[in-house]
Amino acid sequence: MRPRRKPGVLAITLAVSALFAVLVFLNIPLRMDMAGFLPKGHDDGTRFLLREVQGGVAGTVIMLGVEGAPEPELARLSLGLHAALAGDSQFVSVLNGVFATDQAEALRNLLFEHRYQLVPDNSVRKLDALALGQAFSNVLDGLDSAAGSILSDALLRDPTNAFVQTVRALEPDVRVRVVQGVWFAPDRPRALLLLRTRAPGMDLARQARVEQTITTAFAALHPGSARLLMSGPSVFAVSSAAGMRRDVDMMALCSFVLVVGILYWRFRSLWVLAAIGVPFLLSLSAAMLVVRLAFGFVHGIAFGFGMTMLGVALDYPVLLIGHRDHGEGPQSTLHRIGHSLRLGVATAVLGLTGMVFCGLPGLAQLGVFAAVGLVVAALVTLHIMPGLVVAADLAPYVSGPSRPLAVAEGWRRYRVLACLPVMFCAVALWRSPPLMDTRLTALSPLPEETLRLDDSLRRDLGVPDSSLMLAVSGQNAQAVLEREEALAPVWAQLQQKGALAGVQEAARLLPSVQMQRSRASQLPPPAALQVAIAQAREGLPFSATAFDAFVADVARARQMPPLLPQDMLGTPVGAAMAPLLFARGGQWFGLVFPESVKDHQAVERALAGQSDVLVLDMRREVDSLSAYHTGRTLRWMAVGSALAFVVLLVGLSDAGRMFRVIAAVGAVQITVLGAFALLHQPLTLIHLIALQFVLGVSLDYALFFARSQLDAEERARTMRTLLTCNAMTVLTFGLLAACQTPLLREIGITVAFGVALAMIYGFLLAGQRPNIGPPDRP
Amino acid sequence: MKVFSLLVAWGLLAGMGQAWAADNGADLSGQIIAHLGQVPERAQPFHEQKDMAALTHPLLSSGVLLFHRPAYLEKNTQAPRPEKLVIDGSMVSIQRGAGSVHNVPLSQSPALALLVTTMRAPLEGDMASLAHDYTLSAQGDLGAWTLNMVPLSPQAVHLVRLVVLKGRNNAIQSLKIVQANGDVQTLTLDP
Repeated sequence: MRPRRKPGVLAITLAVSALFAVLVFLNIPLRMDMAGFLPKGHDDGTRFLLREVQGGVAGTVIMLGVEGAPEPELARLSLGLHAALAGDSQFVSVLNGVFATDQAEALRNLLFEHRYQLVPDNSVRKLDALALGQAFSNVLDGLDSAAGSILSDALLRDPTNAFVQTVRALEPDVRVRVVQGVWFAPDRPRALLLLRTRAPGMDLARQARVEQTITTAFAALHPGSARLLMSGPSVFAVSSAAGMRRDVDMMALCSFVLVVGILYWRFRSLWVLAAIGVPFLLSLSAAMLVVRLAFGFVHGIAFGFGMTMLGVALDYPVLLIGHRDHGEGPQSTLHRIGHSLRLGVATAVLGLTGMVFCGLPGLAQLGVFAAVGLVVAALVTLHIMPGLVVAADLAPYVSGPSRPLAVAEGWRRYRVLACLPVMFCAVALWRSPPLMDTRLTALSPLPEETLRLDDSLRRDLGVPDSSLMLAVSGQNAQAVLEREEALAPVWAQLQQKGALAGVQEAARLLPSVQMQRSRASQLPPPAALQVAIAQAREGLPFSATAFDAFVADVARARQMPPLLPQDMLGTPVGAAMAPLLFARGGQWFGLVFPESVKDHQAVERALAGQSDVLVLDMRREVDSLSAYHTGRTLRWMAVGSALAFVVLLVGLSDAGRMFRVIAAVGAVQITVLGAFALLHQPLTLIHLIALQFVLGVSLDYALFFARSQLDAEERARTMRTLLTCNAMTVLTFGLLAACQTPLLREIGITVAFGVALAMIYGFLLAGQRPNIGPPDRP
Repeated sequence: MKVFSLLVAWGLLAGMGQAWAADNGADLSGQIIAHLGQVPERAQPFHEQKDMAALTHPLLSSGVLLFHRPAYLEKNTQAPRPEKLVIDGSMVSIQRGAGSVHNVPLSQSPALALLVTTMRAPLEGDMASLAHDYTLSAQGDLGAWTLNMVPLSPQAVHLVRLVVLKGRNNAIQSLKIVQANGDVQTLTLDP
């Protein structure tokens, strides 16, 4: 006779847990940016530069490529995009080789007027008879040309071509070919555009609108077969945030449906689902709360991973209910499984040490989220669930031995065969050990082909990738510009050696006052110039007054007050300078971006003597960071695994069982590593962390299989329950494989594969037939 | 090749003209332009003379002018120095001597665009483009006419003082452009 069900307590507990969860979720928003996964810099200088790179104007660059159609069509699309976007206030500049015409009249006049102070090439200021003779012949040739008549005034006013050189020096250093007047990639039919947005790169909402504007403008041009490629820090941020959001939503929904489906199939009872809902809600919200308190925010990836961890955290309540028989009292089920359950939780949590202590805030969040979830789920299972379960009299729908289980048990006879794949993998591992990939890009939430596209667009458009950047500082803007000019010989030397292609800096756009004065002083006085002109004119058909405007311009240039940064405000040059020259906290800073750096070491050696120049080598920063984190992760993994071993030693106190458990767990690790070796998949920090997690879970399974069971019925209960747990874990982690965020995908694939193996090896190797060993400890 | 670089440098920073309503009167000038536009292709030798204040003597050149529909004009200068100017649709390419070819989209150089309108629009019978930049008036009759084009758009006023086209029936005999600075360029087409 069954006792009457009293599910009231269960219903109330569930309602309280749900209320708690709702409160937590409403008050803790998720963050989707990538900051937690990026390096933070090893000292104040590098931290400052990293902040400027990530939050500064470098983040507002968007590179566009148009490909997939014949070149004339691509040129049409490029011109169309330019026309549509150049007038849009969301963009500071839109470049495609055709220059924007707005604000340009004023800038043109400014540059023409100040050409002799701005032009870098000293030879155009060399206005002696010899140089002028050559220049005048060129002017004559120009006048003779078909285009000469419309430009005759400009040709005569600027015989040495100072204006053209000035404009050329201002143009970005692009490695493009010009087809039909617009930029194309040098090596393939791909039209290129370079945009800068007004919105900061990290303002995801506004950047999303910017992208919408671009894609709408592109679609309105009827591109046909042509495709639009977009890249840049803000594009990454928007797409990875959107990808993460999709991943997290997908995970939350699918994990939930899967877990509920499996549990319902296993128990055929909504009350069981309600009972399991209690540890689910409590562990999820407790994990959110702890992560929020420990890190200040909860990242979307941590939450997504936390949902996946459901598949593991719910093992505990499932094990409790799955091992209960109808009518059993609160303590008798715990009596049989409590010991193994506590050991299992301990080893699973110890399996997260690598992740928790790796030092990268993003990954550490995943670890803490998962660990808190596991511990809370176990505590609820041990202390709250028994009462609820007994009151509602919950137990498995089927129990006791069955034919399929008996058949499966029969397979254990051939378990020696399980050694074959293990040995095969061990040999594979021995012959070609998997490579360690310590690059931090392996951790980047961005897919590799996205990074490759970005690389090629940057190379073609000459956009510095901030892999190496420098900063100089001074009391005011002029001091910064002068400091940058003082570095010019260093760059020239490096350029000559081929160590880099050039630098982008404010001083190149607008020289310091001092430099402009010194350039103006190179110009000859009017009388000397007149003499030189008279000499140069000999033998050429120029009239005596032909170069009067030129003489007047040079005379004026000698007296003219130099251009200041504020004179450039509102012009394209001012917009280009803004990110390169700025004040922070009363101090002025100038950023210098070396372009196409081939030899990092040569650059660093050259700058060794310049102690006031801040240098940020992103690659070195990232490498040292990654090596540091990998080392740290390995250390903590070792500590965690050693502790798990100690827990086993104390908990099992039986050499035979201990051996079986370790054999099963070892077989899992060897097989997973062997699979990596066979697939030539290099091991990253992510894989290490996932492997350690697999270790924790496989220990958990092996412990339950290795329990000496009282009878065949208990054995069957264990089998069924573990199968349920396993299905939940494999399926939820398998879901991660469908994620767009590479980090989650790698964890998902590794864990799902490892945990599936853990079930098989646990069953075959760690398992124990009933009535063989002594009864479980009381 | 500095003149072309200057063209690009000047054009890339230059302002654009404004849209002006076209005046399509069916007077003699309209008839002349319509007549000219009926010839689908032309190939004529030309002589050019440039009189410039800055120079002590005129610059002379000669070559062949080619036109065909749609929108293709080639000015092939052979002496004293070879130069090939091709205006095709909205692209202009210039090659001087054996130098490299420079491509300039018309949208990038308003000055060049005006030159193209002045030379090509009459051959195309494109009254709308002409009326955008010039006010047209004609003397004589269709057998022997003189077409005066006075600049109208700000861009044209800025660059040109007067353009005079002379011709018979559907043939142009000469094109004289008086620049804003007083320099005169005269293109004579041999029959």
